[in-house]
Formats: sequence, C-alpha cells, structure tokens
Amino acid sequence: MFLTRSEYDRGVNTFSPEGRLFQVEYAIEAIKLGSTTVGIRTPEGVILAVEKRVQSPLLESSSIEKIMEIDSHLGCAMSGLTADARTMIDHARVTAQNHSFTYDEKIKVESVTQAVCDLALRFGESVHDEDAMMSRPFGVALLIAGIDELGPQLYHTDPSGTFVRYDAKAIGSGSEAAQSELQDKWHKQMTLKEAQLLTLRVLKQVMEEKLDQHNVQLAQVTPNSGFEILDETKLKEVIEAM
Amino acid sequence: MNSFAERFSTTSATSQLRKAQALAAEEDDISDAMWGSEAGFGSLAKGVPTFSIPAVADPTAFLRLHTDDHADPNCRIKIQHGTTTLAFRFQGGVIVAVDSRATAGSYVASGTVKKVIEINPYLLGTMAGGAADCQYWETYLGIHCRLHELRNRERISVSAASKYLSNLVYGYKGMGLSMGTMICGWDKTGPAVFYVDSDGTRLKGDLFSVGSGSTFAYGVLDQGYRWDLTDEEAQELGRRSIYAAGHRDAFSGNSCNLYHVKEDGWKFIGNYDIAKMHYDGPGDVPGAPGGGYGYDIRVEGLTSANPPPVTAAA
Amino acid sequence: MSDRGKSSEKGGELVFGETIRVPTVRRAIHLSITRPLSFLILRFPLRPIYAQQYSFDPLSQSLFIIASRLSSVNLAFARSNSMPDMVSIAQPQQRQFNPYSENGGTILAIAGADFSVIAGDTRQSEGYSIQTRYAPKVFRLTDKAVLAVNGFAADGNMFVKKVRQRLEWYRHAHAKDMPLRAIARLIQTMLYARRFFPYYVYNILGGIEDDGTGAVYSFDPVGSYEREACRAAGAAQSLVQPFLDNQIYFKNQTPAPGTSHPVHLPLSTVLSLVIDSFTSATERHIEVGDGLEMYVVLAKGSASVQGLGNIRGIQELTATDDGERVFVIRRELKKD
Repeated sequence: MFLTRSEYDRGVNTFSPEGRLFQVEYAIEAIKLGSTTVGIRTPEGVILAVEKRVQSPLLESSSIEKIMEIDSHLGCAMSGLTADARTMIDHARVTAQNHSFTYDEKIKVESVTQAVCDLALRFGESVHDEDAMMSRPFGVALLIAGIDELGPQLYHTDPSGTFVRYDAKAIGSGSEAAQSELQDKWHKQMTLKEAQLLTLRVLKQVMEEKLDQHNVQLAQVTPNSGFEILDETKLKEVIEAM
Repeated sequence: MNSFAERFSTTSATSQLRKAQALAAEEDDISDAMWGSEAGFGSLAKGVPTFSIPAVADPTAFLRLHTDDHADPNCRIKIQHGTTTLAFRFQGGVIVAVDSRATAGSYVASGTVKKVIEINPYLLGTMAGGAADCQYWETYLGIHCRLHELRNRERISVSAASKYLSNLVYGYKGMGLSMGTMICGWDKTGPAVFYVDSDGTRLKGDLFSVGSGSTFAYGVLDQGYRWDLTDEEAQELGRRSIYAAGHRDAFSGNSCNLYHVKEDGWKFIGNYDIAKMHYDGPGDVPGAPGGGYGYDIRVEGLTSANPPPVTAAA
Repeated sequence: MSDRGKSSEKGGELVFGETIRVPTVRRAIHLSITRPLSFLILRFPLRPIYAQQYSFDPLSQSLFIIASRLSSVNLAFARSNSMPDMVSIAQPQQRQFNPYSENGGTILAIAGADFSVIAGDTRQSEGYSIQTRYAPKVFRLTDKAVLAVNGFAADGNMFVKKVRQRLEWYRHAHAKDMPLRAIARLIQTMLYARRFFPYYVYNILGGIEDDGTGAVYSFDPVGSYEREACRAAGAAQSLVQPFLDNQIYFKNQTPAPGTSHPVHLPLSTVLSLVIDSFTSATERHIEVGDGLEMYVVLAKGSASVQGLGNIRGIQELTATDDGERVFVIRRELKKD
C-alpha cells in the first residue's frame, strides 16, 4: 500500500492508477495538524472561533491572527499552514474590492469563495511563465463567513479547491469530535448568542489547555455591524457566560 | 530568499512588471479571466486597469484630435469640462465646496453634477477637468485605500492616499488625462488637504481652489480666510466663494455642494442654488448673514441708474 | 545624416501603395519640383511623429529629406503616376486616422416613481443623406434595464454587444441578473477602458433599481456618469433637454399659490411628453425622424400597468408578469 503510494506521491500533476492525487490528499492531512476552528451559521449572523496555540508563556498571544477580515461583510478563519492562508485571503480581498469597483455592489459570499478556490487550484509545474503559479497545493482550509442578499452563509474550502456550504463546521486537529458535537447541538433557530456559546463549548472540549480570552479568538458577521473580531473584554464576557 | 513570496505576491514590483509584459504580449481581449470567479472584471482583470490604444504612431495626437474641444470646438467627442472647486483647512476641519455645472463646449451638459467624490467615509476628492478621469481614478483610489486598511489594520493617511493617486496618474502623463483634484480628509495628523493633478503635481496646503472659476473663488476665500474660523463661518465662506465663481465664471454655476470633514469623517452640509443665493441667500443656515449675496440686491435704490432720493443740502 | 536616412525609410514603410524603384522615384521628384514644394510633403507620407520631430519647414528642409531618400534602393511611393493634379489645394496634409462618424438621431429617458421610459428615434444618417429609416438605438439588456446609445452607430452597436456579453458572464459567475446600478458602473468601466481610443457613443441607461424605483443614468463617451430623473442626448439634445427641464423638473415655473409641483409624473404624462419631444425635434432637426421607439420598464407590481392596456400597438417583451416588465411602443415620425 505504502509502496504504491510513493511512486505517485511526488508530482502534483500525476494521478495514481487508482485515480488519486496524493499531494492534494497530503495537503488535506496537513489541516488535521492545525488548530481547531469552528464556524456556525444562524439566521442572525455567522460566528467563527479559533483556538490559538500559545506554545510558550513568552509568546504574545495577540500576535496570533487566525481570523481575518476580507471585506466589511466577509470574514475568514483558517486552519493548517496559516502562512498559505495570507496569500489566499489577500486574493479574496483584492477580488472583493475589484468586484465593488466594477459593479458598485458587495461581492456575494459564494463568489468570493469561488475566487479563493480558483486560486487554490492554480498549482502545478508551471510550463510557461504564467503569473502566480504555485508549486504545491495550499496546506490550509478556510471557513469563509459572510452576509449577502441570500442571508448569512458559511463556506468551507479545502486544498483541493472544493467548497461546500455548511450550517456548522469544524476543521483542524479536533475537528472530528467538534463536528459531532456541532451535529448534536446545532438547530435551525439558533440565536447569535447561543452560537457564540456553542462555538466556545465545542472548542473547550477539544482544547488541551484551559480556555480563556487569550487562547481563543471569536469573530462574527452580522447584518448590522458586518464583520468584527470580539475584543478581549467582550470575549471574556462570553466566556464567563458559558 | 524572498523569491517565493515575490512570485506569489499580487502586489510586488515584479508581479506588476510581469503583468505589464503579459499585457503587451496578449493583445486580444479573450482570456481565462473572462470565465470563473474573475468573470467580468474587464479591464481590471489583470489587477491593474488596462486600456485600448489606437494603432497609430501617436495615440495622444489621435485623442487630442477627436476630443480636445479647446483646440477645435467642432471636435466630435466632447468631454465634459469647466468647474469651480475649493477646499481649505481650518481649526474645525476641512471645508470642501464645489459648483455643479458641466459644460461641453458652450452647452451646459448638466447642472446637477456631483463634483465631490466620496472616496470613503474619511476621504473626499474633488472633480475638476475630465469628469470621467476624476470619477474613475478616485473610485479606483477608494478600493486601494480599503485594501490598505485591510492589509495594515489602519486607515490610510491623506498624504499616502494623495500620493497613491498622484503616482497613478503620473503613469499616464502626457497621454491626455485631465484631472485637478483636492484630496481632503482627517488622519492622525489632523485635517489635511492635498492638491493632485494629472501633470503629476502634488501639493500639501491649507487652501486650494481649482478650475476655471478658481480665480474668483480665491478672491473671496483669501480675504475671508483665517485658521480660527468657527464651523459656521467656514461653511459660509465656502458657500460664498463658490457663489462668487458661479456668478462671474460662465463655465461654473447652477448650485453649490458643501461638505465638512471632521475627526469622525465627512458630512454633507447642503446643496445651495446659486441663483437663489444671489437673490435670497442660502436660506436659514448657520453662518449665513441673511439676504442675497448679489451686490445689486444690496444697492437697490442706491445706484446711478436708480438713484436714492436727493436730500436737500443742509 | 544617417539618422535622417533611417527615419525616412521608416516613413516609407507606412505608405500604402506600390513599391517602385529608384528611376521612377527620380522622375516623380522631377515632376514634383515643378510644383509648390509643400506638395512634396504630401507625397512623402512621413509618419506625423517624424514630421513633428524634425519640424521641417516645407520650403527649406523637405528637399533635404528627399535627397536622403534617393539613396535608399527600395522606396515605397504612393501611386505617384496616377495622382490627380492637386496644385489647387497645395497645402501640407497629414494623413490621419479617423475611425469616427456621426449618425445623428436623438435618445431620451425619463424616470418615474416605479417606472422608466427610454426612447429613441430610428433614423440613421451620415452627413445629409439618410442611410436607413429603421436602425434601433434603444436596446433591452435585461428585464429591468434598457440602454439607449447615440453617436456613431458602429461603435454603439459594438458597445451594446459587449455590454450584453458582460451581463451574460456576470449571470454565469454570480447566478443572478446584474442590478441596474451595477450595470451603470460596469458601463463606466467599459467606456473608460477605451479612454485613449474612445467609443464615440453617448449612453443613457434606464430601468428599475433593486429598491423598485425608476432610474436613469447618463454617461459621457469616456464614462463619467450620474443618476438623474431625465436626460436627452444626441443631435437634438439642445432642443429636447430644455423642454424636459421645464416639464419634468418644472424649471422656471412657479406653482400656483397653495400648490406644489409633483415629484413624480404619471406614466401617461411621461409618454405624452416623450412623443411631443420627438415630434417637435423631428420638425426642427434634420437628423431626427422616421420612427420612434419607446421602451417602458415597470417595477414589479407597478400600478402603471393599467394605463398601458389601451395604448395602440404596445408590445410586451417580458415573458412573465411576476417581475419587472418591459414594453415597447412604436410610433411613426415624419419622413422628410
């Protein structure tokens, strides 16, 4: 089994005889090493929460940035090789701005997700000197949250360039346990407050350290205030309410 | 060492260069960017706006031949011109006042032009010269200010924004762009006004007026300007200056749009009809003296044509 | 010297026509010198840019340039033997690229509270001759947007084609019809992409916004745009616009004491104003006439639909009545 693999797992542009692209599959594996990230969609908005792994007491936890703004109505949380996500998020930001320049309207959540996935697929051995060719798949998965005319939405993208819409999704190292917990607890008429609490409860279960305002990050996208990352005081209130 | 980042970055100098080269090579407008998520960014699909150029030896002469109505009033494509705009800095922020007339040759093409371009909630740009040049590039500036904000988690300074615009239009120097604008806003350094034009000039200053009616506006502005004007006095000075230009300059007029930039962003103060200001004044607004601005109103019954009754010499 | 020789060769490359050998050239020169010297410049179609670079004066320097040309073996020369005698217009002439023409006609759009009317005449002319009596200038883009184009018909038709293509791409990429304000911005970017080689077209876009209000956007040839209540463009712009200012914006009208001007006019009034504008423009402008096409765009559930039933020859272009609806009304205009 392992032997068959090794013949076909070197090139990003070679399928194995069983029809698999091992480098892409390995990239998806890389996400399972990442910190746990949870997203929940409710009728009132979308919640994103990530675990920050504070490996050392000397580490400035506020410098770990795993949730980023794409535009005022779009946010994004990541798990995996977060450095790769910077490129993808910058692409998403530029796409969102280009859209608003060309059409004088906010880009749809699905459209921006599609743009990110288009970029995710642009890997391979560049034959001619095309711009922005990546030599390997991105090793990161994203949860893209946003609100448009279709209401609050949550999308999940992976290194294969696939994107799927979810009501609630967990990615990263604790994702299996977290996902089954979400499946139990999520319901259609969830309020934003309930969703905030649920994401933190789910994270708390899968985290090794004790959850506090320094080792998690919580963000939300709402119709009124758009995307916002909760600051430590607000985060502390939610944690205390838990 | 940074070659990986360089290669992938959408903003580095090399990627800009690469794009420019690709553009030169790829003449036809059918490309991958038409489909997929970038479908329909059109001229923006390659990241920087691209332009069709006529296949003639001197495209600038071509453009001038067909669009310059100063040189040839019979030229076919009439681009809208003519304006008075002004902006000044004072203790209470920045006042931006403009007229609303657009002329094509001697025809008043519109009397309701918005010559203040709202770049974002903290930045205003004014419009003088080619209407499309100002609208397009200042909107383009807007998305770049937003990207700056997202990437640096901090609002762009007025200085940086104006420099970005200046660099942008300098790239097209001599090709026929026509733009004279004031970028106004409030940043960490307080209220700021920068003058930027399509020749590449960029000036920081307290007080500017741009357009065919600027000389008339300066006349009123210079004599009434002080740093310690109150908000009401400053707004009135802006209005009064635009009125003067609308009154004396045939290419300016119709109405005055007034904006005030403060620490928390800009605010639209109002739209004032210039003919109405002449006869009745701007209406019941703070700072207005009451009564019309026109001197014929002030001197009614006091001119040689309509002399006051002669009082018997004592 | 070598520089000049080089540049004149370059000038030669641009010339259309037969390539002839030196002896013929010499004869042509001989012929030419008997005529005013400026004629020579006409014959040697140097690219304008070179003419400017050397800024030679026709009387002294042109001969010098000709001399240097003789040294090159293979010279291109524009039909030297068959040229008509042009002594009478012995002026230096530059060949210029002129891809534009003007095809007359007028377009007009008026926005109501929940409808929009976009109209244009159908005459197409060039100079004083009428090319056709039916060339549409108003085009339905979507169920809520209609675009009128005026100016150079070839540019206009191409432009509409490209706008429609972009609308289609947008539909595929974003799974919805483009909203009116988005179309307006799109048109700006498309026009501005030709900033240095403009489309010679004046566009007026009319339709229904996402909030259900009627809207009109007007554009200049390079893309500056503005939302307005009404706008006329084209040959009879200066005849029609003042009439609309008076009748739509009530400019220079004082309302009767105790009353005020209506903010929005009803559809029937707007249609009469449009017809009157075009019949009057036809009387006073030679480039306007033949036929009138009026597109009416109604917002979803607009009550204005009731008045439309008894209009002669009205035709609905939309398939369903549960969204925005588009109608077209055609009228004859005088054909002289």
